[in-house]
Amino acid sequence: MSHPDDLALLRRFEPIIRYTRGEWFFPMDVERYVQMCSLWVKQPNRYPMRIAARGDLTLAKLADQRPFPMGAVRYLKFVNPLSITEMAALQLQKRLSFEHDAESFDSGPGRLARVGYSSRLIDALFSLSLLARGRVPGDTALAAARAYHHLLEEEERYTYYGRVVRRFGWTVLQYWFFYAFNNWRSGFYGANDHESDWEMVCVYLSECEDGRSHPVWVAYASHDAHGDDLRRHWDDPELERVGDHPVVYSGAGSHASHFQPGEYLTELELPFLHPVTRFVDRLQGLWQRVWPYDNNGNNGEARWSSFSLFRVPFVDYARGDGRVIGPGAEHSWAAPELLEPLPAWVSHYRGLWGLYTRDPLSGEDAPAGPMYNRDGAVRRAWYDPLGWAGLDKAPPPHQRLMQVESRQSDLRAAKARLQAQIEEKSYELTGLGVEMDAMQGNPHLAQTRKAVLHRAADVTAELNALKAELAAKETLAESLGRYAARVARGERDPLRGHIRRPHQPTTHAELRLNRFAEAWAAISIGLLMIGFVLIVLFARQYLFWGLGLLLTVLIFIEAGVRSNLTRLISSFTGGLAILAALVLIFEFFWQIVIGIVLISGGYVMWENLRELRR
Amino acid sequence: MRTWSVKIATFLLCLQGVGLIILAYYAFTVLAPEALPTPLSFSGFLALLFTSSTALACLAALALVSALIFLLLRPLAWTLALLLQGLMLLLGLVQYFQAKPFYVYFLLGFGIFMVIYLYNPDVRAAFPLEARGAEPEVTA
Repeated sequence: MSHPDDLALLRRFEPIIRYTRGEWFFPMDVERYVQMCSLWVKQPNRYPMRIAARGDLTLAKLADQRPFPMGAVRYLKFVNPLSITEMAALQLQKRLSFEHDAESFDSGPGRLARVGYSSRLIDALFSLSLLARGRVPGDTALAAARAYHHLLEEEERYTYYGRVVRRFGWTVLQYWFFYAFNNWRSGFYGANDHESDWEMVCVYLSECEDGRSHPVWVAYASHDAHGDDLRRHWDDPELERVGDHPVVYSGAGSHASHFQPGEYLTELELPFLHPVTRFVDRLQGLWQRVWPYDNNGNNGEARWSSFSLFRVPFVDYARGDGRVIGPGAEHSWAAPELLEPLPAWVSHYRGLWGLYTRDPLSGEDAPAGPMYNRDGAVRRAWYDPLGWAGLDKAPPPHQRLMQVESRQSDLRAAKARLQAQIEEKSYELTGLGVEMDAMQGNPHLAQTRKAVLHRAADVTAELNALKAELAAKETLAESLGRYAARVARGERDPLRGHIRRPHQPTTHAELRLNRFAEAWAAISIGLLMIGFVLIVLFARQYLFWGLGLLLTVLIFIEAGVRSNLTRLISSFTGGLAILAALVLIFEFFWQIVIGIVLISGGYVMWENLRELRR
Repeated sequence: MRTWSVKIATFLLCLQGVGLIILAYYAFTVLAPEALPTPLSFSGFLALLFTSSTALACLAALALVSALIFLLLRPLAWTLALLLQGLMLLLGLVQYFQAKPFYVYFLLGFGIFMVIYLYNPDVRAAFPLEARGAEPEVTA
C-alpha cells in the first residue's frame, strides 16, 4: 500500500540529472516505448518467435504470464536495423536536425592514451571479439535515436518511476529512469550498446524529532561501485545539491550515475582473464609487502591501487555540459509514476526490455526491468535497497542512540555471563590446585594426580580464554560508552569513513597528455603487429631477439610518454635481481647456506660479547 | 640531506665504477675480436656486445656519473643508479648464459646487494619523486 505522502516525498527530493553534450536518450515512460516494440521469445535450439507485433503490444499484454519452456528468453525489439538508403537519409538528416548535439561531442584525450600498453592490447582483442559475439548492429543506435526523437517531437516528456520503501526506520525513495537505448559503445567509445536501459537513484530518509523525514544518504547506481561505495552522505561535499534535490551526472550513452562531473575511467574485467588478473594482483600485493614505501614515503598501496593490467579500459563521460532535467532546470520532470501498488508490467514481466543478442558476456543484451536481473532473479536493489548500498548495518540517526544503548545492554549481560563463568572456573581451578597440593608425597595417587593435572591444564586454558574475552568485551564496552556520549552530544560519524574505493573522475594532471601521447596510443599496438609481421617475413631467424628488442623499445617509449620511467626501471631491475638471485642460489646453494650460518653465528657471538662488556 | 646511507651508497657506486674499469681492462686484454668467427652472426654480435670491454667500460662510466650525482643529491640519481644495476645484472645474466666468465658471479652478487641497498627507505627518502615532478597515477 502506498503512503499518502509518498508522491510528495518523491517530488521533494527528485534528482536533477545533468547529461553530457551529445547525449541522445533521456528518461521516458515505458508505455510509449512498449507500444513501439514487438515482443519475442527465444527458446533453446529454435528460431526466435514473435509473440506480439509492433503496435499491438501494450503494458497489459507484456504482463501476460504465459508459460514457456525452461531456458526460454522473452525480449522486446525496439527498432529494426536500417536499410542503406534509410541510413544515408538519416546521416543527412542528422547533420541538420536533432543530432546536432551529438556532433559536438568531443572525446578529449582518448581513453587509449590514458591507459597502458597491455590494456590497449586487451582492448584490441575485446574489439575483435565483438565480431564473434552477439552484438547490437551498428546502425541500431541511429534508428533508435530516430524513433526516440519522433516520440519527443510528439510530446516532450521526461519521466521517472518512483518507489518508496519503509524498512528498519529508513524511508527509501527509489527513482527509476528508463531509457530507450544505451549507445555507449557506438556513440562514446564505451563497452556496449543495448536496447533499453534502467538506471536508479536512491535517497535514504530518516525521521527527525519533529516526525518529519530528512535526507541522510544518497546512492547512485554505477558501473564499478558496490555496497558502501555507492552512497554519499547528504552533507558530503562530493554530493552536489540544489535545495533538496541531489544532482546526478549521467554518463554519456551509458547513463551510469556519478556524483561529480568529469570523465571516469571504468574497467571491464573479461571473465576468461580473471585468473590472470588475480595472479597479477597477488604479485603486486607481494611486491608492496616487500617494498611498501615509495620514494615519497607513501604506502605503496596508493601507488598501485589503479594498476590493472588485464582489464579493458573505457571512459564514461559524465561532464554535465548537456541537457539538464529536474526542478529548476530547463527541462522538468513530468508527474512521476508510482510503482505502488506494483504494476503488473514490473512484477510479471521477467524478460528483457530490448534486443536479446545472445552475447556470452551479456554486455550487449538488453537489461530486464527494474525488479529483475537478466536471469529473472530479483535485483538486490529492489528487494534489499538498504543492503544494496551497505546501509543494512547502519541504523537511522534517530535510532542510533537507542541501538548503542541496546548494544551496551547486550554487552553488559554478556560480561555478567562471562564473569559468572570465570568465577565458576576459578573456583574449580583453585579446588584442583588444592587437590594437587594434597596429593604430593603420595606415590599411590600418581594416576589420580596426573588426571587432576590434565584437568587443571584444561580449566586454565578455558579460564584464560574467558578472561581474554572479558577483557575484549570491556574494551568494546568502553568504546561503546564513548561512542554513546558522542551520539548523545549529536556528533556525527565521519561523512566519508565508509568509502573504501571512491570512484573519482580523471584529474587534470592525468589528462595532461599531449598530442604525441594520443598519437602513440593510437598507433602503438598496430606498430607492434606490423613489426612482428616484418620480422617474420624478412628476419625470421632473429624472431626471438627481434621481438624482444621491439617490445623493449615500445615499452620504454610508452613509459617515457607516460612519465613512468622510474616505475619501469624499478620493475625491470627488481625482476633481474630476482633472476640473478635464483642463479646464485642454483650455483652456490651450500656456500650460501654456510655463509648465512657463519654470519648468524658471528652476529650472535658479537651480541653476547657486547652484553658481557656492559 | 646527505645522510650516512647516501654517503655509503656513493662509496659503493664509486667502488662499482672502479671494479667495472678493472673488469673492462681484463676483458680488453683477454677477448681478442679477431678470435670471433666471420661473418659475424647476430647472436655472435650480441655476445660481442655483452662481453666486450666496451659494455663494461660504459657501465663503469655510468657508475662514476651516478656516484657523482648521488653525492650532489640530484633527483635523477636514484633512478640512474637503479638503471645501472639493472644493466649490470642484464650484462651478468647474458654472460652467465653465454660464456660464464669467472667474474659474472661478482656482477650478479654486487648487483643484487646494490638493488637491496638502493631500496633502503633512508636512501629512497633522500630522492623524493616530487623533486622531479610526481608521476601521474596511471592504469597499467
